[in-house]
Amino acid sequence: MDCGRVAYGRFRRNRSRKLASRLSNHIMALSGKYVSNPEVPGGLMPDAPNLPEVNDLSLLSLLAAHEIERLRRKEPSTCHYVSILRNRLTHQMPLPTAEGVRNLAPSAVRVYRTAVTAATNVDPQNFEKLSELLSPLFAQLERASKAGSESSEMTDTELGTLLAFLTSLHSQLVGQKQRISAARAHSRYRS
Amino acid sequence: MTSRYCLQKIEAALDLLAEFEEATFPHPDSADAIAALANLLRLMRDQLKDNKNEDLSKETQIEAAVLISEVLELLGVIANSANIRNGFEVHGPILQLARRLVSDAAAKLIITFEWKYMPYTYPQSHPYLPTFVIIGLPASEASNALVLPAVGHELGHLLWAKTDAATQLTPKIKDHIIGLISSKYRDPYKVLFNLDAEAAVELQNLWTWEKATEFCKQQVEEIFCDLTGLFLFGRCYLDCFDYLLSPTLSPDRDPEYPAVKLRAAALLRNGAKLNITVDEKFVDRFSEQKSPYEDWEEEALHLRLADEVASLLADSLADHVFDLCSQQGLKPPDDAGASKVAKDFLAGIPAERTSGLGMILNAGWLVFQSPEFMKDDPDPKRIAALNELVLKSIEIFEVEGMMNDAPKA
Repeated sequence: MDCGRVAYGRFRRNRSRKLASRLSNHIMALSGKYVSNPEVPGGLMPDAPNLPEVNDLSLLSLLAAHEIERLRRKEPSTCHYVSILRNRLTHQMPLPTAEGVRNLAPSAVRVYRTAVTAATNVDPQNFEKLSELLSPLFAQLERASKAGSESSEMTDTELGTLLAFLTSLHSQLVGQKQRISAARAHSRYRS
Repeated sequence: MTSRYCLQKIEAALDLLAEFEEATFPHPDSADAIAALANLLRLMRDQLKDNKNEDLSKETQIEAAVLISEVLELLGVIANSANIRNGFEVHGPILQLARRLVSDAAAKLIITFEWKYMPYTYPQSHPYLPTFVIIGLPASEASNALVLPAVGHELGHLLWAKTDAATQLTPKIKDHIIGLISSKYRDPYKVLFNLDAEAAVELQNLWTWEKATEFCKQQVEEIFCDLTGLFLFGRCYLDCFDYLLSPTLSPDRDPEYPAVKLRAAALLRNGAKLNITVDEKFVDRFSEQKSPYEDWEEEALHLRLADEVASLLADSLADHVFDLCSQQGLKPPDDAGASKVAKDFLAGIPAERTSGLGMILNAGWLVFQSPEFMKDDPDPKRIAALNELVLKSIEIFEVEGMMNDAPKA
């Protein structure tokens, strides 16, 4: 079988690959792209100007949760992904009013309802209650997205609630992503 | 301990990517995709190393597992993009078309093939490669220029994503579904869910029609993409649609797709708005497909609701899509231009000074359907000859564009 003969023929294992990897890291550092920094604990540069572009909500909510966790530990965080996530969520629903929530697709309402329950331990039974619980979470997200004084003034309780909200969002969205991926692998209509 | 295992799995994936980074690709976008994936893996690794919260560590490990799995699949896609099975000549013109369609000069494109008999795409919507348009053609057709109009459908997914059409259409879709539950489907709804139609809008009852909304959104997206393909490539989109899909790929419906006959009917009706007239029997070339659900299943009602709403929205969607494309300064290919190119093909020479990909592909189909073209030869030979003419004409079109754009002395 000649499948992929040209492409795969080029991917030979070779001793210089680790050197090439280091070189590519160096080139990315020069071009201002994301680079792992061994000088910073954990390797992540808190003020890296050009972190990888992410627009997947699942991954964004995870990265935002990590930034919130760093704030909880009183470590520096640019809250770069918190800010992007906040923009994405408010684009979808500018204000978490009852009307705003009602306009969402049922699947999105379900995700918010579960995340709100995880963050507040209250399962809202109607749109008004869901909106009432969601509003402070959106406000906290807004404050956290403003790196500096506003985010550093957030209390441990606020940060803990926000972290639970984001972790629940991530857990649900990554599940959706896995289901889509599994369905795609089996679909003859994939597109 | 699992965090340690996860870190090792990420390192193994990074090692694999390093091997790919040494490879050469016909277009730099494939190499850029590999670098982007490596960046994400490094970011994930650093999040794991930096983290001290157990819950967050588990979430990160799950995301990392999905990322590694997708990286492997994407590496297959990227590796295939370097295979000579692909028509490398089409990369530039399709990239230009994609960038123009969505006004995104930074968009990147990977054209590849797939070991499944269906074109597919990630229209800058792949969770891990958000700036990339990835288009895959079935492996057996990757060298066949006559299936290139299918790319128009795939670019439709790009337009759908970039214009955030799903968010815009969701309220309309919901209103129509609720309207149908309150009228035509009041009784079956009551039987299936033991609820009055009026209760459907309450928070705790959204689940009773959530799937109908999801099916409908996906169906409407497919119709949107067909209409984009129709605008961009005109009549040859219908020929390609017929070639790839008739009579049907499956006797059973996929609920996330409109029935193939409904798609054909929507194309025929709305083609008239672009002065594309085709044989009325076009729709008859496609078979009826049956629902994969039994009548008593909830999903059967969801599918009926989705089908009706998608069908209701199809024509207004066409006006919207045609407006969006026109606003970008794009025009559907015209028959006169295609006939002019076809004359060159019939004479056995590639065309020069064509006005776009659409003209060339329409000419390809016109010539393939002409009884005059290599009339004593079987179709495989005719298509092989046509491929040379079409792909060379596309290359000339790209070079002419570069020369026009080049600074003059």
